[in-house]
Amino acid sequence: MPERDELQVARWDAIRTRVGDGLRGMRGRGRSQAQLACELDELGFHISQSMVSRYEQGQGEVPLSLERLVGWALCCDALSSEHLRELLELCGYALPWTRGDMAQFDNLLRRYRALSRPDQMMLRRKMLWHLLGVQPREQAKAEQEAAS
Amino acid sequence: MIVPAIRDEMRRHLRDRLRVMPAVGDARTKANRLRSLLEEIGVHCDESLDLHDVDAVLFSSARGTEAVVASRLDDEQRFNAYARLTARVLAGEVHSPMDAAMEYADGNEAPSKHEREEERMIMTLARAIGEGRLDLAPRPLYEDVPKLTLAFTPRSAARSTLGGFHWWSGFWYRRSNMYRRWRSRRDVSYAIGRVCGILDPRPLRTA
Repeated sequence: MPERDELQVARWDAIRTRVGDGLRGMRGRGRSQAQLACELDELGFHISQSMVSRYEQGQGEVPLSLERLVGWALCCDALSSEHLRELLELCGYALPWTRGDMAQFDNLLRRYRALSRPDQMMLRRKMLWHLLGVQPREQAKAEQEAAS
Repeated sequence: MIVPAIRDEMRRHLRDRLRVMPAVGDARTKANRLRSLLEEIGVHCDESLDLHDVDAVLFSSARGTEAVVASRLDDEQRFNAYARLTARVLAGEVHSPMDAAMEYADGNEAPSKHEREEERMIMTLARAIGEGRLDLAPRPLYEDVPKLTLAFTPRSAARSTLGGFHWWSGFWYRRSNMYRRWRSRRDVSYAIGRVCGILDPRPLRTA
């Protein structure tokens, strides 16, 4: 294993329990793991219910990418939550948005909660692009290519 | 620094192009014309199978502005959707740093009273755009007009009074169905044009 990968693994081992706590906190009690996995899948991430469970228990083997972390928060309406802020800090990621901006994004999601599910997913996909500047499907494809 | 995507220059460019845009052709031609216009001013346009209930969506952030139109729409509905998106870019409220506006099939579906009011204003303005009759909407939406200021000479006082009328017109156009209906009448539009000519006799900008 190359040295930097060992370092990455060591770093991930050190933080993954806390990351799991944060992920569970973002999901809250009102949303099941199955529901979250389904929404993440519709958003373009290939995350199964068992993966959601493993990550929340701190057993995920691969570090969560920024895209997956933000996608997770987007599906949980938790962009402005303290959990996401702490997770981003913990994982060493940064977004160019203030806390006020993130609160506005959550409001935007809440405003359109009455829309049909396909329309809401379209809104979330577009929001993800605007939040990160990358297309989730392209990102997922790139991740798959990197893995293979 | 995050800056809003729909800026004054974009709106200025749009209204300059709208003033000279022909309104002839079938619905498909007119829809394509409006789409080209939006793309010309920097709005990325796309058509999507994923939109089920809303006709179109306008997203705006520092990363850009994009419009998504439901691909299930027929030519006439598609033309209406592009006209509403154009009206939205021209006169809609856009909140920084990111905003999304839905174009519902029925304007009464918007979630809040404020949004329903704006939706009705956008629909009225979209009709004026669709008919190629921008003069059926308040002038501040599509051309530079005098502003209400402190005025000391007869000429500047007349221009300032006109600015006050324009402010009043814009205010009620956004808030009152009755005013929008009244303002969309051709005889009213003609009379307002005459009043503008009397209070500010400079030639109207056409391009």
